[in-house]
Amino acid sequence: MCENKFAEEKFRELDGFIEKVGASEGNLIEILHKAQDLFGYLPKEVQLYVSRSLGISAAKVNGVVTFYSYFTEIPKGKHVISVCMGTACFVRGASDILVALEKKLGIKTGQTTKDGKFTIDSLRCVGACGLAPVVIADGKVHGRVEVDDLDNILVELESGVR
Amino acid sequence: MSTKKQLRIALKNCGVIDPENIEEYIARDGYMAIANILTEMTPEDVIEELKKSGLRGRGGGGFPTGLKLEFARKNKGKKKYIICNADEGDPGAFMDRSILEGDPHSILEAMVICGYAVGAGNGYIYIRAEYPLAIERLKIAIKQAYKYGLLGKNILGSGFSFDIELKYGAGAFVCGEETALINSIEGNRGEPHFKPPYPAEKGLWDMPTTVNNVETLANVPAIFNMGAEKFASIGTKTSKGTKVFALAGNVNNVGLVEVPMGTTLREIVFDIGGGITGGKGFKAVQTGGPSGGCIPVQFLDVPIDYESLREIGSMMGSGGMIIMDEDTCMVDIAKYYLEFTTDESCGKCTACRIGNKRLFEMLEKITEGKGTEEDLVKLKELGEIIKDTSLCGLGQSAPNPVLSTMKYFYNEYEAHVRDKICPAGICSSLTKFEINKDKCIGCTLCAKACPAACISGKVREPHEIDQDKCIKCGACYKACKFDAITKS
Amino acid sequence: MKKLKNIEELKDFRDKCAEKFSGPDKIRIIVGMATCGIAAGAGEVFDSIAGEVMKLGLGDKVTVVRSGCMGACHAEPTVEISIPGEESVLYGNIDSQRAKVLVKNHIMRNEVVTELVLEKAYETIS
Repeated sequence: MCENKFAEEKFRELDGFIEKVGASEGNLIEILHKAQDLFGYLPKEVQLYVSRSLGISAAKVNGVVTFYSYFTEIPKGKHVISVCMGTACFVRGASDILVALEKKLGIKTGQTTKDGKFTIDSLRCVGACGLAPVVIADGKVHGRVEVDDLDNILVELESGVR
Repeated sequence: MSTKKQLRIALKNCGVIDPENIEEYIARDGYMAIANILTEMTPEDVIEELKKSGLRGRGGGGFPTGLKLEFARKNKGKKKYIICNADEGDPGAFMDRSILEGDPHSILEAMVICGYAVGAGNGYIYIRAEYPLAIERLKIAIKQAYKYGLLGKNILGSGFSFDIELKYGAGAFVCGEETALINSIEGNRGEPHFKPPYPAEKGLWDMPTTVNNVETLANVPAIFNMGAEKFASIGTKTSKGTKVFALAGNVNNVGLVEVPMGTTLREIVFDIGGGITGGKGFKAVQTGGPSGGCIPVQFLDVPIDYESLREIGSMMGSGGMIIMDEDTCMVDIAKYYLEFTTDESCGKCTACRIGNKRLFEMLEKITEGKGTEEDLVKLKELGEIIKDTSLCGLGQSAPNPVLSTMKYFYNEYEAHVRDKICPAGICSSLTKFEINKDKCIGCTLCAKACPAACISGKVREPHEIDQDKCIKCGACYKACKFDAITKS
Repeated sequence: MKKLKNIEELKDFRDKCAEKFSGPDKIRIIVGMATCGIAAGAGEVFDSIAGEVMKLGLGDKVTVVRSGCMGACHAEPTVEISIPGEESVLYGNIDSQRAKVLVKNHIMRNEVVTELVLEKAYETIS
């Protein structure tokens, strides 16, 4: 019940955004960005809603959603930990960090823990190569990360201290 | 002659001005270039001046910028567009982000100049969604430029009008390719299409369009402020001006450097970069990202420009420069780049979609110690076919990391397939951990750290690793405090 | 601010801005605040410097600037201090404590904090 109300509000906000930028095909990617910001991911209902609002086929919307790695059709965990796999991070040991993190949480990259708490992502270069290897936890950039730092990062995320 | 190796043109305001305050940009002659152009020059003059400067595209290809604008000027269309390609996707390259975050107005000014030269009234900046700070600063800059009448209708009373809008990428490396980028701005999947038609004829919404990279644009106002002759006096015969490199990897002074074209790699890596971290030996420089190649030690003294880099099997690319030390496995690096390109391949053409996947699988096989000498022959053959038959730049250049490492580090490939060893000790399936009996004091730390319980030995006596059970995780190697465990 | 109507107005405005930012009594403390700088803690450094400048009553003389990347990613956060008539000095590996030391020593006592200085290895085109 409560969630439905939230969803309604989100759709209303999305309507407002579509009106602002214009319901044209050229703005599809921008609108999907906004929708993902609002809903956290892009489930079928949201994709259908966008396709109807813009008067384009749902296949076209789904084609765009699945093409770009930024868009996701699966909900992510409460906390998202991304390991940068850009070259600078790679040559400074990012894959060791990713493997250690996967082991620690018992999931693979792209998956979410059963309790819905953590999602592991790997990222293409975020451009902070001076700090390689880099881990981004809920948007906060941690530089020069070592495997031993991972526990602290996880604890920090769970306790909500940022 | 100055002893300083770096010369800043594109980065002249980065780290100097407050990028969120247009007044600071104006105080340093900002928007003077466009003001002078609008008062004194015809669009043809502008193109001529850029041709004279010798400026070439800094995004990778190195196409002459003046010529590009001239094509778009000559082609007819109801509307024309200027696009700034800020979809910096090469892993390890961050100069465009730095320019956008440090000097956004220089990009806006350059786009107005290009718009005037081509006869375009609209510009788009296509930027990665992964760069929130750059987006924020661009938004502020655009707002300020409108407020001061430096964007919008009738700029500085000249009668020329130009608008700029931001468009966001959504995580697709292939969108750095201009036809794919244009598809993405139109709200489509970012798949490239065959050229011709070039964007200068049929680009955005089928209208004549010029796509320029961020660093290229950052040079444009500077060229008009300093004069084309002076710009052309810097650099080599074919490549004028400077190039910004993002120096990263196993180098002491990781950073953003801007050097005149013709500077040698040795000067960049050792004089500016301060050499290799941990006093280790230099092995290779990777330039050009996933499209480039690895340059070995014998080319450290080659003066770098577009042509010389291509001759030695790499390319300028956007300017990522990853330094690799002696502990880097070149087969592993090739595999890393192939994993990247197979992941980012849009899937439209077969050569790239399937060919690169097969390359990747062969490399995987080799790093697991299952490769054969026949694989090496196939690797090279297939790589060359993909280069010749792919549709766009991504596919055509994807085999470069493999081909260049095979060319210069063939012995490492041979070691992997023939002797089943990884000389750098990176490929874990081929790594062997052993305990040096003379150094081991029997502290038991390694045995405790071993997750496979395959280290045995009595306290205060040398230990031993059971090679059959060893999973090659390296935990013992890290746990040992007496350097008694060797990795080979 | 009204829109600039022609090149003369822009030139006048440029001269006014130049005077505002680089007059003979204008000390600038520039903090490198691009993505990597911020990730390394440049935000705290900026706050610390701004706080110290206020505390020591230097607000009229000193402008603290949030700028972009200075290029020395290996030594983030970076701070550059430029005093008119003197060669500007680039500092690296600054934290909020060191930031206060920079203000006290370099600005108040005019002493360069040599152990934190980075070589400024570039020239800028004029």
